Amino acid sequence: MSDFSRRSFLRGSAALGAAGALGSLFPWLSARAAGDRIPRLVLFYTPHGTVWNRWRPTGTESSFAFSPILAPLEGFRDRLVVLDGLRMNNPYDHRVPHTYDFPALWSGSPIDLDSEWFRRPDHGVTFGWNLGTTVDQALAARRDPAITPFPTVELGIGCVGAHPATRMIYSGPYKPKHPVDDPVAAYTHLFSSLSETAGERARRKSVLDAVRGELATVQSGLSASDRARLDAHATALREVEYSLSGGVECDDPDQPSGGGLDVAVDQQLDLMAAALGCRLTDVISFQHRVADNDGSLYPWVGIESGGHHSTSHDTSEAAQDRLAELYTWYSRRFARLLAALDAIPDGDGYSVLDNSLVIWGTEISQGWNHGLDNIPFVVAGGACGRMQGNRWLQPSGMAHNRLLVSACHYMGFDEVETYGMTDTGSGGVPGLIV
Amino acid sequence: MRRSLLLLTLLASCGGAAPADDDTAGTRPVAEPCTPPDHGAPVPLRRLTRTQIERTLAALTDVVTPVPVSDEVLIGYRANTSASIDASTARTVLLATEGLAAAYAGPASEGCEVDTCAEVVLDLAEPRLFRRPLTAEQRAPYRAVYEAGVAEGGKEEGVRWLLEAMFQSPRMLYFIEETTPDGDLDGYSLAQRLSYALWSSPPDEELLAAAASGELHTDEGLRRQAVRMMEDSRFVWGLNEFVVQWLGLDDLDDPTERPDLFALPEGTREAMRREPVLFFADQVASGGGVEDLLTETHVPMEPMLAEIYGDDLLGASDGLTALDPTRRAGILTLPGVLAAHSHARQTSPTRRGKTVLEQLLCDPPPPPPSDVTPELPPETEGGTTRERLAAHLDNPACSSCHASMDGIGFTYEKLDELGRTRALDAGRPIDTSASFFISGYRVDVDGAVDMADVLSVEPDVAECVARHWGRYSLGILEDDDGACVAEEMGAVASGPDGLKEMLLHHITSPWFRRPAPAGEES
Repeated sequence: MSDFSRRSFLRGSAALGAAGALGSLFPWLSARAAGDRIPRLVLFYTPHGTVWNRWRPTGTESSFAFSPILAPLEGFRDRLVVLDGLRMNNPYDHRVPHTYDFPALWSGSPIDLDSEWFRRPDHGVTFGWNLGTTVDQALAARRDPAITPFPTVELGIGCVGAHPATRMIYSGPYKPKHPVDDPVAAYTHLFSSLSETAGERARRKSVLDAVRGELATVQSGLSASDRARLDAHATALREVEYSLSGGVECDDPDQPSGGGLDVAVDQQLDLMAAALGCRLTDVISFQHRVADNDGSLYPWVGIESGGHHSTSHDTSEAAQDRLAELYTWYSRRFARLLAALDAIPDGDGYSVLDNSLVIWGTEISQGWNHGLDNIPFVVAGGACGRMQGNRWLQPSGMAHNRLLVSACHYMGFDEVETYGMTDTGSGGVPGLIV
Repeated sequence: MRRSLLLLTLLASCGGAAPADDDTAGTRPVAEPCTPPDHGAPVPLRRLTRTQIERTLAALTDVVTPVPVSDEVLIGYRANTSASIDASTARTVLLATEGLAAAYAGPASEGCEVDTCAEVVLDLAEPRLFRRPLTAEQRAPYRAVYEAGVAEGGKEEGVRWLLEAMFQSPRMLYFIEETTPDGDLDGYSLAQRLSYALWSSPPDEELLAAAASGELHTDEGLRRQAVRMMEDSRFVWGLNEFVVQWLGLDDLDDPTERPDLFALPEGTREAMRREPVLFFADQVASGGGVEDLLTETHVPMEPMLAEIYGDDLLGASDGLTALDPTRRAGILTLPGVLAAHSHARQTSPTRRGKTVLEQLLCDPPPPPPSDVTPELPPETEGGTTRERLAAHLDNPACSSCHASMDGIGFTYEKLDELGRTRALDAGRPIDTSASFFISGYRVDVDGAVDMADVLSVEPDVAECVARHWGRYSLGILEDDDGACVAEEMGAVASGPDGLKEMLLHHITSPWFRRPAPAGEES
C-alpha cells in the first residue's frame, strides 16, 4: 500500500466520525493531525545472551531461513532485521560480567568502578551505578516533556532489588529508574489517571506541589550526590504531575488479574502496547527478570532445577537444548508484543508497529563464557517506513553504540553521531535506518 | 588487616582458603589494636524501607497500609542509600496512601474547627510521621495545602489534603538528619537512627521526649533508652529485619524454588522463618553472647515445628523447648536456617558452607570461574549428596574454594533440606566429618555440634556478626573505621550480656551517634 492510499484511508475513516471504523477505543486518533507518523521506541530485554547455533539464521542477507529460536518471528519478517555482529565495548576485566554489562546495554557507558557503593567481596571488587544515560532517557530528555503524559515508561517482570545487576535504565549517572514489575501496579501507574476526575486531578496537583516545595527545604547539609537524588525525586514528582494533565482520552485496557510470572509477562506486554497505542508515551522499555543472575526456573521449557543462569553455564548438549527452548519462549513473547502493537491502528492506515522501532537485546553474547563479541540483537517494526525489513545483517567488529545512534536517528535526532562513553566510532548501523 | 592482605593473591581471595605455606601449627599473631574513630559513619541520605514506611504510617493511623515500593539491597541489607525516588515509586506512594488519608481525615478532623484543624493535625502527626517537630516556617506549606483543601470542600477535605502531603513528604520518606551547633547529631536524628534500627519503626513518645530533653546526648541517657527499647516488644520487629537478612531467610518465601516448603502444613514455613528471630531475641534478653547464639539448645517454642524436630525435642518449659544437644546447637541448626540454604528435595552443603563463610566469618568465596560448568551429576545417579559433590573436589579449579565451602556444609548433612534429623542419605550412612581452613587455620570437625563449638570460640565470628549489625543498622558497608568499631563490638560480644552489650557499644560509639566529618558523607 502506498503512502497515498493510506492517507485516503484516514480521510475516509475521519469522515465516519468518532464512532466510525476505529471505534471509541482510540478516540485520540481523530484529534491527531493527519499525515504525521509518530515514531515510538521500544527496548526489550531478556537475560543471558542466546544459544548461537539455534539463533543464527541460515542463508544470505536478504534470503535466509529463521533458526529455531527466531522462528516465532517469521510473521514479522518484512519488518524485522536480525543484527548479528555488534560487540559490546566494555573496558573492564570481567570480574562481575553480568553486572558490568547490563547497565551498558542501552547506555553504551560503563558503571563506576571508582565507587564503593556496591561491593562484591566474593570478587574483591567495588563499583557504583552506571555513569551514563540510557538512550530512551536521553531521547526523552531532549523532547518536550509534556508531549506525552509519560516521558518514558519502564516495565518489567521479576526485577527484584535495586542494584546495577537489576536496573538497566538510567536517566543520568547514578540515576537508575525502577521498572514497574507487577502488572496490577503497572496498570495503575499507566491508566489510573485516565479515570480520575477533575477534582482528583486538582487535589493531587496541589498536594504534589506542596511535596515538591518541601523537597527544596530539606537539602541543607547534604552531600552533592544526596542533593542530586532529591533533585531526581523532584523531577519524578513533576513527571507524575504531567501525567495528571488529563490530555489523553483513551479507554482503559482490561485490568490484569493475578497469575504466575509467565502469565504476567504477557500482561505487561499488552499494557505496553496499549500505552503506546493511547500515546501515554512514545518511549517504553521492558525488562525480563535480572542480569546478575537470573536464577529463575522455567519449568514450562524444562528448566526445572538449577535456574537459568546455572543452565547458561552448562555447555552440555542437553543444557543448551533447554536454554534454546527458553530463548524460543522469549522469542514468542517478543512476537506477542509485535502482534499486539500491530493490532492497534495508528492513523493513516498504519499500525503502531508500523511506526515503532522495537529493539530486543541482552547483556552478553552467551552465558558459558560471558562473551561480548557479538550481542544478539533483533530490530523490529516498520520504523515509520525508515527501516527495510527482511534482512540478516552481519556487521563485523562494530560496537553496539552504533545501534543506539540508530535509535536516536529514528527518533528524530539525526545529528547524533556517537552514543555513550564507550563509543569509539560514529554514525548509526550502516543502512539500518534510512 | 587480614582480609586486605588476602586479596593480594588470587588463591587467597578464596573464602576459607588454605594459607600459602600451610602453616597450621603456629599460634595466632596478636593483631595490633586499631584506633576507633571519634567521628560518625559516612551515612548517605537514606530513604525508609517499605517496612519502615508502613510502620511509620501505622504509628499515626493504627492501620497497616501496604506501600509496595521496592527497596535497594546494596550490601546484603535493604537500605535505600543510593537510588532516588523515581516517578513510578512516587506514584506508588501517592496511590497507596491516598486511601489512608481519606479514611483518616474524618476521625482526625472531628473535634477541631476549620481554623484550628491544620495545627491540631500537625501537632498530632508531626512527631509520628516526621519524627521531629517543625518550625512555624516549615509548617507553612502544609497550612497552605490544608487551606486549598478547605476551599474545595471544608475542614475534612482540608485535613485529607494535608495528610496526603504529609504521607508523601520527604520528611516522612527520608532519614532527615540535623546537627547541633557543636557538630553532633541532634536528639531527634539520633532517636530515629535508634528506633528504626532497634524497632524498624519510628520513635515513640518517650524516645522523642528524651530527644527533646537532651537525654540522648549523655552516655547514661542514651544507654538507658536503648536498653528500654531492647526490652520493648517492638525490638522483635527490628531483629526480624536484621536476622532475616543476615541469615538469608527470605529464601524460604520463594514458591518456585521451594515447592517443598509450600507443601508443608499451614504455618510451618512461617514458624521456620520466625524461630531464628525469636531465638536471637531470647539470647539478647537472657544475657547471652555470640557463643550462646551458636551453641544454645533451648529454643523458643514453635508448636508447628514439632514434626520437623521429631525425636530431637526433649521437652519444654518456660516457653522454651529443649533440643537434643548431641544433634542441635545454636542458631545455625534451626530448621529455618538449614532449609533456607537448601534446594527443594535436597540439601546444599555448598550453600550452607557459603553462608557460614559469608555471614559468620565475613570471608566469602568468589563465584565459580567462568570457564567452569557448575553442574553436578544428577540425583538419579545415586549416591549421597556428599558423594555427588565429590566432583567439586576432584577438579583443582573448584577444590581451592569448595574444600572449605563444601567441607563446612558437610558437617550439617545429618540435617536435611527441611532441617529434620536424618541418619541416611540415599539409603547410605552419612559422613559429617570434614577438614578445612577457617581464617587461615586448619580445623577438623565432625558434625553440626562440633562445628558450632569451633565457630563459637572463633574471634572472627563475633566480629563478623558485629559487622553485619553495623551494615544493617547504618545501611553502609564498613570501611576501616567501621571495621575497628566492629572489632571492639566483637570483643564485647564475648563478655557477660554479650549480645546486648555489643549492640549498646555500637549505639554509644561516636560512629553511630555522631555525623560524618563535613564533606565525607557518601
